[in-house]
Order: sequence, then C-alpha cells, then structure tokens
Amino acid sequence: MADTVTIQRPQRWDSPFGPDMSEADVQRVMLLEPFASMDPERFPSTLGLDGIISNDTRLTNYNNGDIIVRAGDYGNSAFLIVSGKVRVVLPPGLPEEMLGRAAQRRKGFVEALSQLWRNPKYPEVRDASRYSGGTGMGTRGNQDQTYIFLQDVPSVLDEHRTAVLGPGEMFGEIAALGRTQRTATIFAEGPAVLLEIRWQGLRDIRRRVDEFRQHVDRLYRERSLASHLQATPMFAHLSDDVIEKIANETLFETYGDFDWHTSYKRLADGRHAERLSKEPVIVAEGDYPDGLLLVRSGFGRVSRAVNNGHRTLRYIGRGSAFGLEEIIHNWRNEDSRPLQTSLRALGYTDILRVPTKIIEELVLPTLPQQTLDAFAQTGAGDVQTRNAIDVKTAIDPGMLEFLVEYRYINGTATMMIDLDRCVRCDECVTACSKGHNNNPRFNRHGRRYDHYMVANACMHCQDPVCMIGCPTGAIHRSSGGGQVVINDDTCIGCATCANSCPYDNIRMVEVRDDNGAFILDEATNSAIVKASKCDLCLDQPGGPACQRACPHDALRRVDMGDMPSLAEWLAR
Amino acid sequence: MTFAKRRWRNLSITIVVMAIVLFVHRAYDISLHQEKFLTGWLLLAGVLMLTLYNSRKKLTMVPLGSNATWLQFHIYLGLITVAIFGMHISWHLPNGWLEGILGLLFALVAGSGLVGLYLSRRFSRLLTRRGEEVIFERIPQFVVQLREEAEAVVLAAAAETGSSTLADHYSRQLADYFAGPRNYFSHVISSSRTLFSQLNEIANMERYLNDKEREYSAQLRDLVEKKDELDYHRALQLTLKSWLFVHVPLTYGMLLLALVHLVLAYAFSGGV
Repeated sequence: MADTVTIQRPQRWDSPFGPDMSEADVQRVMLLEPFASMDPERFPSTLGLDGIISNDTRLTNYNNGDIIVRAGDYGNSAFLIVSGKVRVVLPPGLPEEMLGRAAQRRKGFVEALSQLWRNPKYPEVRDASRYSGGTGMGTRGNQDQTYIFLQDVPSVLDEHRTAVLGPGEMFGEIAALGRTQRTATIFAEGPAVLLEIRWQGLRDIRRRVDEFRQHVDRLYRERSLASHLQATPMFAHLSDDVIEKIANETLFETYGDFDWHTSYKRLADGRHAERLSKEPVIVAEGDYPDGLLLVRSGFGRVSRAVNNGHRTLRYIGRGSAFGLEEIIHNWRNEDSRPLQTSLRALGYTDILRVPTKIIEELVLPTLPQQTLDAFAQTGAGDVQTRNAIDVKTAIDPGMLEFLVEYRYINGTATMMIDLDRCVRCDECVTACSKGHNNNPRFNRHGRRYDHYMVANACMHCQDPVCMIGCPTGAIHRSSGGGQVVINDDTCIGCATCANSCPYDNIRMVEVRDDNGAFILDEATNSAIVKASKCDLCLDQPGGPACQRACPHDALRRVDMGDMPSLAEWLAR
Repeated sequence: MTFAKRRWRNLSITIVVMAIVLFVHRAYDISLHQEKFLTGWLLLAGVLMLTLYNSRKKLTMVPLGSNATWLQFHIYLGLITVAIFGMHISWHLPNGWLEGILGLLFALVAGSGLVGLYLSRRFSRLLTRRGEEVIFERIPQFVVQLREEAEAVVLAAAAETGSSTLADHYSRQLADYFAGPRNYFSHVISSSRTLFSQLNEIANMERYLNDKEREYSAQLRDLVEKKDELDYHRALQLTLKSWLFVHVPLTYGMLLLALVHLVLAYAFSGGV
C-alpha cells in the first residue's frame, strides 16, 4: 500500500487577512481603542484577541484622495482609523464616474441598429485610449493592491458635503456584519493609516465583547432597524413611537457562514440529508413560536419533516417573515400551536426576532380582521410570499429543491431555459453577441432539472459575492435597476470577481484593438484581460436581447424572489 | 398566460379574421367585382408580412416586440394566407404553368412551415429526453474524442490480453461508426435499430472474450451508446436548423414568381 500523505487539517487562519501584520503591529493595535479596553480573558485560547488582530485584520496606508469604501459597494470588512483623517461624503454623494463606475446610458434606436454594421470584426475589441482615465479619478497600486483615488480632493471638498472622521473612529461595521451595501463613500484626506477588520474577526469580537455587540446593535437600531420594520407590511401602519418600541425589543441573530459560496458546490452534490445537516436550524418544527422572525439578509429554507426526511416547502429572502401563522393562531385561540415548519439558514441568514409578546401587544390588535385572516392563512407577513399558498402547490417540489440546493434562488435575473420549447437555434447567443462586441456574455449550457436548464449567465444576485473584494469597484450595482455590471474602463483584470462567483458566470477575456491584435501590458508584454459577464443589456433599448430573441418563448430571465411569477412561468 | 390559453386566443382571432375575409370575398363576388384581385392583393400583403419575420429575427438589438410574439403572428397569419390562397384559386388546382409552379411553391412554403412547426415542438422534447445537452457546433469535437477513447480501449485490450478479438471487431464493425456522424435517417425517425444492432454484435462477440476482455468490451459498449446519443442529437439538431433552408429560399422564389404573376394578371385583366 502506498504511503499515506498526512497534513495538518486546514485552519481558518491558514490564510491571514493581512500577511504582513508583524508582532509589533499586533501589539500596537492592541493598545488602540476599542481593543485596549477589551478583556482578553473573554476569548478562548484558540481564538484569542491577539490572534484575531494578527489574522483577521490588516494595516493599510492610504494617500490623499484614496477611496476607502464606495457607496453601494458590498463590503466584508470594517475600518478603524489609526492615524490621519478620512472624509465621509454626505448625500447625494459623488458622481458614479468618480467612483470608477460606468455612466449608465441606453443606446437610441438608430445607435442600437447601427451595431449591425458598426460592430468590430473581432471579438472583445476595446478602445485602449479609454483606459487612460479622465473622469476625475485614477488608479494606483498593482494587481495585489489597487486603489482608486480622487484626482482633485480640494474641488471634491468644495463641491460636496462631507464629514470628518479621525483617529479611533470606526466605520463599516453594519455593512460588513450584515453584508449590506455601503451607504457612503469615504476617502482619505492626506496620508492615513487604517486597520481593516474582516467580518470573521468582527463576528468573533461581537460574540464575546458585550460592549462591542451593544455598540454595533445600537448603530443598527439607530440607522436601519426602524426603516426595515416600517418596510414590513404588517408594521407599515404603525406610528413611529410603536415602531421604536418594537425596535427596542428586537433581537439580532446571525446564522450560517458568509463564505457559503466556497462550500456550497461540494455540498450540493452530496446527499440531501447531509446538506440539511450543514444548514443551521434557526427554528425547528415543533418549537414554541417565541418570536416573529424577519429575514434581514440572506436566505432561509422552510421545510417540513416527512418521515425520515425534510421536504422544502419554499425559500425566503430579505424582507420575508416567518412564524406569523402560529403566532396569530395562538393569540386567537386557547390551544397553543407549535411551529408547523422549520427554518434553516441557507449559506448565512441575518434574522431579526421580534418577541411574540410584543407582536401580541402592539401589532395584532391593530390589524384589521381581513388583513389578519390573510396573514394567518399564508403564514407570511410580507408581500413576496403572500401568494405562497398557491406557490406551494404550483412549483414542483423537485424543482424547488434543485433551485435551493444549487443556490439559484440568489438570482434576480436567472436565465432559465425550457428545453421542451428550445429548438437549440442559438438565436439567444447570436443576439447577445450582436450587442456585446461579437462575443456572447453567456453559455447556453448549465445544470438541468427535468426539462429546465439554468444557463451559465450572470444571475444578478441578491447577494452578489462577486462584488466583494473588487479593488477598484469596477463591478458594481447599476444605479438604475440594481443590475450587477462591470465598468470595463476601471477593471484591472485581477479576476477576483470571476474567482468569487459561485456559479462560474464571469469570464476573463483578452481584449483586442481594432485590428484584432491583443492589447498588451507594456511592462510584461502579456495580454490585458478584463472581466466579462452578462450586463442584462443595460445599454440596449428593450432589455435583455436573449429573452427577446427567443422565438419559442423558451428562455426567461427569472427573478427568484418573485415566486408567483416563477410558478406561473413553470406552469405554462 | 399558459400556452393552451394563448393557442385558443390566437386560434379564435384567426378564425374571426378568416371569417371576415370570407365574408368580404363573398360580398365582392356578389357585387360582381373581380374578387381574385382582392384575394391576390391580400395574399401578397400577407406573404410580405410573413417574410418580414425573417428580417425581424436579425434585428434583435432594437425593440420591435419579441421574436416569440412575431413567431406567433407568423404562424397564425400563415394559416390565414393558406385560407386566402384557397379562395384565390377557388379551391381548385391552378391551371397554366406559371400558376401551377406558383401554386406548388406556395404549397411547399406553407407545408415546410407546418413541418417546421411540428419539428420545433416535437424534436425539442425528444432532444431533452435523451443524452446530455450538447451544442451542435461542438459535436464534431466530441465525435473525435469518442473515437480516440474507443481506439484507446481496443489498443489497451490487445496489449493487456494479447487477444485481437476486440480490435478485430472494432476495425470490422466500429471503425466506420466512430469515424463521423452516422445513421441520420434512423435517428430522425427515432429508430433504435442501428444501436440495437451494434450492441447485439458486441454481445455476440462477448462469447469469445475472457473476463478481462469483457471489462474492455463493457467500456466499448458505453462508448457506442454515447456515440449513438451524439449522432441522435446531431441528426435532430441538424434537421431543426436545416428545414429553414427549404422554407426561406422557397419563400423568396415564390415572391419573385408572384410579382411576375401580378404583372401578367394586370396585363391581361381587361382594364380592371
């Protein structure tokens, strides 16, 4: 028998966030607030505070004008100002071009038509002169560390309202812990040193340091919770005072793993029971409904036990509620009904738990009978799944499991092809190619369930993990419809997005000049590469060309959050 | 809207339009107008509109309604033009060589359209239910890959077992089969006779194999089945792509003859 190769089991800190953090750096950071006042005894020896600082943080030097975070980006880290100062751009914020994003412009009819004869002969042709800047911003650094910087900081300060943050102040915790969009752009004013803490470290600190948890929770309560509650249909009619009371009693809970995209493929091919066992149970069927659960971010699987297995009934996402049916029943009746279904975290799920007592006191008595009946019937206090009662019967359970297991539920424009209608004519591919530099932005290929295929096309995810880590912010959500798009001018070809995309829907392409020759890097003589993916024909009149081009109604860009529409399409 | 509902809606509209055309046609006839000029012009307009669909398919970058909507319009307008054509020729076979050819062309265009519609609905389902999804342009590449795998199997069998039975069978029965796409017509009519025959030959040969050779034979059998699936996909996809090469050129030929027919009809109309 051949010798067995043994290695140490890979650990979380095998790849530190900042490989250059020295012992001296760690000691220096330990002396800074809020770390200085944290009690190291609260951390286990295997996950000490110094270990977190050493492995989950990094010190970064910024120069004048360097953009630290951009409004609209998805972050997975928070920042502590060690020295220097930074400016927070207040609303309305900086123009899109200044943040390294493409200005959104839709082609006119004639311009769109002219693509027929004006498209270059070769695929992926670019005008190299566009890469020289000229939008009020520039880039510096290298493939490993690149920053966008504002070229004229004084004029930015003149023309935009800003606030100053100085040493010891922290920002970005809410976006990092909730994986929500950054709400403001922040740039360095003069040289500054910042400590960046990745979400894993933040989560551990939050879990063990009460003051830090209270600080983060207070920030969230102050900034976002009230608006989240007001956006929930069952709270929409309540006054600000009542909303505040509810907000004060609401608990924050996080389940699962932010890095779900790295492990889901392996799990998806395993057994159903094994997959379920890896999904943290938020509440189990049979539990007492001690609170109304509101999904703040991420997704949850609603399932019911069937003999030795669990059958998925539906999935819920941001803005959905869980447990209302039972709460209403128990409030109306003498008998106590436990939860009829289980809720599990798919990947990661952020939950707001509003205690049942609060719902019974402040919400249910104020709801009209008719509304109450509707909520009691569907068990969901939100618009998205209000039609869930029909959906449950309309979507084939196998299809539901398929969509959940492969996380296609993340898509807001998932390309689904009904193979029973598709004549394999590739009109969709040709149409895409005509609108995109003679190179289609998707592959008519992908996983199948029954006679449906989910093609390899960008799904414009609700949780766009591809956007995390883009050094220049080239991949971003469009300000118009929220589509995930890439600004070709500021993409540096680092492939961070392509490597992060869990669905392999971003490709790196070598770009050419008008003559078909590859554009080369003057330093290395290697071809310049750019990230390329479906942009949902944002610049074309009429929407996605693939869908419009299909003669047999076989292809549809499906918003997985809109289950009734999906069910209707599947049941054609 | 479900496909069934859409079908009923479109069919109802088509029947109503046909009834209106029939009514106007009768009214023209009763009022002693030359109704053939009415139906002739309607037919020409209808065919021209049907022809526009092909151009529309190429202009996907402009918002002119979806191709699916245009195809629905194309199908049902096509049915209406068939009815108008019937009225135009008074439901009799045309006489005269020009009219005869024109009528034949119309029948071929309409017939190929209906066949195409049937194939589109039937073959897409068949393709879904058999084998892996494969992109047409990549099939030759996969055929080469399968051939190389099959050759590697028989060579390995010969080298390891010292027997030439598998290699002989391959060169006698399978070399040609793996050389390129095969059995087009069998696949189009969904016949599995050729595959059955190939597998039967392998089964017969297995009588003369030892256990080790049988392992290789099983691999060869898998490759034969894979190749059959690939041929099946190629045959059906090729048919789905190529029926348009009948439908579209015939349409343009018919249009040209229709223009000649129009000129001649007016030239000999006696001043209508």
